Amino acid sequence: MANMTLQKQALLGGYSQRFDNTMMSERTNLSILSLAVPLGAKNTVDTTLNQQHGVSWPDIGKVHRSNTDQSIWLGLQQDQCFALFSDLTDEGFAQVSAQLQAAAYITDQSDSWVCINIDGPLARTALERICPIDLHPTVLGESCVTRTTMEHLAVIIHCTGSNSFELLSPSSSAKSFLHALETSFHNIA
Amino acid sequence: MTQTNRLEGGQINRQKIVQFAFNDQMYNAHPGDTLASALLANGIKHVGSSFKYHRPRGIFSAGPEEPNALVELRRGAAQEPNTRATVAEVFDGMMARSQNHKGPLGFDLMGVNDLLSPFLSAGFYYKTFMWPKAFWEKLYEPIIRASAGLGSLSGLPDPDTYDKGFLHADILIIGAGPAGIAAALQAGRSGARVILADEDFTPGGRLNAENLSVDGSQGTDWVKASLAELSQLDNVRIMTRTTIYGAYDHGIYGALERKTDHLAKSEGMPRQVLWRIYTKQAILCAGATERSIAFGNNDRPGIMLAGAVRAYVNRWAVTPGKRIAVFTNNDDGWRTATDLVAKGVEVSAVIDSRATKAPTDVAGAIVVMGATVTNTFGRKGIHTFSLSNGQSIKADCLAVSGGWNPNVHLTCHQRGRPVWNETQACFVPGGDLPMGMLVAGAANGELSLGQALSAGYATANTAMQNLGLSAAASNAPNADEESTKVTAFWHVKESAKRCWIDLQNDVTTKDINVSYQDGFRAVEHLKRYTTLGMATDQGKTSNVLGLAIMAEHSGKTIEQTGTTIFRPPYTPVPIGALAGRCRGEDFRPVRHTPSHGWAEQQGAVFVETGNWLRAQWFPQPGETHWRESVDREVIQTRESVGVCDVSTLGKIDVQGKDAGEFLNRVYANTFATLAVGKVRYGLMLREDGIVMDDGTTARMSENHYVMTTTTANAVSVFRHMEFCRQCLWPGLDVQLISATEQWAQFAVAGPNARKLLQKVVDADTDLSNEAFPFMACSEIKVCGGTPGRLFRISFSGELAYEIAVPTRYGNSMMAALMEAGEEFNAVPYGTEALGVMRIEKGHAAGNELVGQTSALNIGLGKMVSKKKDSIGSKMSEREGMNTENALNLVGFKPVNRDKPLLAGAHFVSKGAEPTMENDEGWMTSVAYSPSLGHSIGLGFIQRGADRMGEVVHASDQLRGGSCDVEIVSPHFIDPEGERLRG
Repeated sequence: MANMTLQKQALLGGYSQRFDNTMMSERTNLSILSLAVPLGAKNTVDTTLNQQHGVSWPDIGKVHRSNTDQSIWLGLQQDQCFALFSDLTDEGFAQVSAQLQAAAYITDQSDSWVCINIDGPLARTALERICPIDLHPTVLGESCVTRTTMEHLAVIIHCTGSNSFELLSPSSSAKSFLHALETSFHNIA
Repeated sequence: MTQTNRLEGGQINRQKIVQFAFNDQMYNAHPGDTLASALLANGIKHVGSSFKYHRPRGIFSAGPEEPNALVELRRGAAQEPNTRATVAEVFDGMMARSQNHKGPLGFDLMGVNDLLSPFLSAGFYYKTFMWPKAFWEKLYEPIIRASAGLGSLSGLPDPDTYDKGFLHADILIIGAGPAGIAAALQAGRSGARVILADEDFTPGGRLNAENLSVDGSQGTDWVKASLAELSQLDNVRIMTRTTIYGAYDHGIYGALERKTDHLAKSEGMPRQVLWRIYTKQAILCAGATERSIAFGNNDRPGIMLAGAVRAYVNRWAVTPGKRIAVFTNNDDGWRTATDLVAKGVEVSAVIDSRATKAPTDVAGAIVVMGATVTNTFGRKGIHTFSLSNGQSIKADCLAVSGGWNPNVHLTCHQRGRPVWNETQACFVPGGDLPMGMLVAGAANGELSLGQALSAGYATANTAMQNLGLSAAASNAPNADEESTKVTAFWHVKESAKRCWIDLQNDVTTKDINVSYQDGFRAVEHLKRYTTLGMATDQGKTSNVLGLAIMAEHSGKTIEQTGTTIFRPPYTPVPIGALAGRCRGEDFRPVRHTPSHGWAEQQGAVFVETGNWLRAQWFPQPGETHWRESVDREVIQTRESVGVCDVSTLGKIDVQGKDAGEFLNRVYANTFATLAVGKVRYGLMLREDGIVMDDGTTARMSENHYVMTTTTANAVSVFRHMEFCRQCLWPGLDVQLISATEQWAQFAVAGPNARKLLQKVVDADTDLSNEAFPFMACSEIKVCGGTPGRLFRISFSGELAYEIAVPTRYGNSMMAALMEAGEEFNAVPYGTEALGVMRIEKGHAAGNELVGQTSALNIGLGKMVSKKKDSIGSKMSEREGMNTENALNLVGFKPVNRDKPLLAGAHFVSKGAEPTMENDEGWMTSVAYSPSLGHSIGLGFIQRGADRMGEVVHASDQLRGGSCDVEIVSPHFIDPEGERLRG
């Protein structure tokens, strides 16, 4: 074997940009695990999540945060959720995955999505140019998540604060997604 | 330069003067003016030529209904024709030109058409251009097309940008007139999420144009105070310069917001934004539009709608004339006269078609009751008119009011029909409204201010109740009830001159008569035959007039006659706004492969495959033609080793105890028996037995499979499988998720593929043929511990693997593979070489799996298992799909090896005529094979498998590349498969 080591590459090069008083940045420290429930095993999965991460299975549209390891659990559909971990090594992620694999069907989705955080008072104004869903706090409030599309691209949108959103969109079109967001900020300036 | 017709007061900013040009002449105006008010202020009445007869025309209205005053605005690439001067805000440096005339406006050479008017009435084209037949395309149509249209485009790309957006509300209030503001105040105070949209740049609607009071204050002051309160409410969004142009399904409304049209330059910002508004309730407060009365020569500059005259005087402090007369059939027309007098403008006469007592006194004016205007005089501007009693009166402006039509358009956008209100002589909304829509104010036939205010308030409460919200405790605004009495009067029958109905399309009462006589009596036929109600104004001032006259002819009531269908948009929406930001490169998203950056550095030529941008080939210095690059890539791969990014193939993670059974059902061949660590080629059929897709599926563990799909069908196959999982077999324990984006995957192909991979795959994976044979798969580590997957599969026919690593390592992996391959003279290859090698190997791909071909057709009929049931297997047994004459996929070589083959050529037996009857199949894929040194092809031909060695004719009538071809095996390279198993 040649003496070679593969280098990670952030999809958007670790993008970070301020638009007036709102910050938009690529999150590059994220590991994403998809969990799917084996037929009839919802309770088993729920118990495992509680034991290992101190969270329960999130209902559709809800987000649970683990106080044990700060992982975030996005309820995306009836039998599926995404678990988001920060700053895990490949080995650490493999370990977490292996533990959950006993209870659920898991799939590494870390590289499937680009993650962009938007934080600031212009967030909703910019997003309303491309996001068809209602982002009003009474509809998509903090710790809510939903799937939508923006500029033809699939997006998982997670409200992380009063004016903060975390957006996941397919990694292959990350640059187009960023362009759509940048254009929105430009167009509301 | 002086604004000779400017009065005192108005809602304009007199502190500032802006300059604008009309037909290259500079004029002064004030912020708050429209182009129309500014032109009138400067005494400009003649602003354009009419569509058909090129008659001089002036400003007719004060709003979006304007049929006459259409101008070309701006210059150069930004030039926009058919802009309504009545809604265009004046800005410093505005440049406007009149349109639809040859020569100067004051001497339009096309005015000769007016002399020919006796011959040019409705149906003229249909009747006249019938003979000789050959003249239609060569002579008549070119002339008509050259004459048609009003303004002109620059022909240059639109320099402006546009955007789109999405808004949500509990209550959308359409129109910020008295009813709309009253509704917004009540809904806003009650806490509902409200959008208040108005097309004007100054909210207030008719209150801006009137001298009426609300709650004891001047109406305009009430508007300002109300807007100030609304702007303080977080739950209310006020959108000015925003037209709600359409009511669509499920409470969705289209809105066009004009962001920079009132500015000299957009400064890179979107000129307009097209909003999609989702609302639970909508309150239509769109007001009403005044209509005219048809009388002789009623189209001259200076003849205007009475309400518009009042608006110019009150809102813009402009008098459209020095001596104005009023012709009305209703009490509202009289208010124009009294407002003019109050502003110190001379009113020469008030003529009322009703033979009743005058509703009020008008100082200094001749009042004639029970009379009509029969004719007017003054080519470029009225100066005199005559009455039915023979009287002649001087006036340089004639204000006409035939009553008001509620703006019911949006109530009809889902095929609702308005109903006729005999008392008010107008159509009002019918009961079949779009979902969640309520109507208030003048749009609902509540024409007085007091009615409009209380209706707005009450309707807001109804909307709140419908939403299950509590209404705030407050009172409706109050106003006096002004009289709106009207007696229907449509046209002056005694007029010997042409009586104009549709000013924008030059439709007269005579045209309606002709339409009736020619049998075009239904309103939709009337519209098409006469062009009544077409073009930018969509007949807002003319439709009711036209159909009322048609009703007179037919002896039907107006309600029985009905209206044409109102469709979106309410007012014109620029194509640019509909496109939004989706122009040029932004038309659709681009997907990049994980090694895109590396490929760019190598100077790769890219090709779009769906949304993907893939390396097509990698030119080297000295190569001047793409074939040189592709041939080199193929030869080098077959001689040593090549690497290709194949990440675009769909990858679907299939997990569950029943995953094998699930795959058995969606694939035609068996998968449940596939051993862990093995890969199998799979064929997927549609319900009808036609091939849907193909690919390989690897069994990574007992309950875990990884399926690959073709690039093109990645999404549709996943969707199909989700449907099967959720709807057909919900009892199976199986879960799916796309992993297409997760993995960067590279084909490493060629005799030295194994040697190359041994340099990057960690040592704990044995790549020997024995340990990792053809169709093996495994989780692996690469380059010192990076997780990966390895599949021994081959699309090229060579000893080949596909190696996958998480996408974040993809670019680095490509570089590592090429670095490791240096000693083998490894070559990166693109989609062209990939295609050449798959044709050489005889693999079916997109050109063969076209949604018309079966497993039998592509030579894989035996793969459809009879031992199990699967989607499409039964239907593939249909007799018609299994005939002796069935198409078979075979290979083709040109008899003359120098001849290039052409995909799309059709096969006929040698010597047979190239006709549909003799058609035996077609060529699907061709390539120049550098391995064989000549062109090769794949294609479908009847009984192809039994016709090896036969020569047939490949006919290409379109491109002229017909030639004789020999039917051969589709496997041009290594038909025994020794290389890929080596």
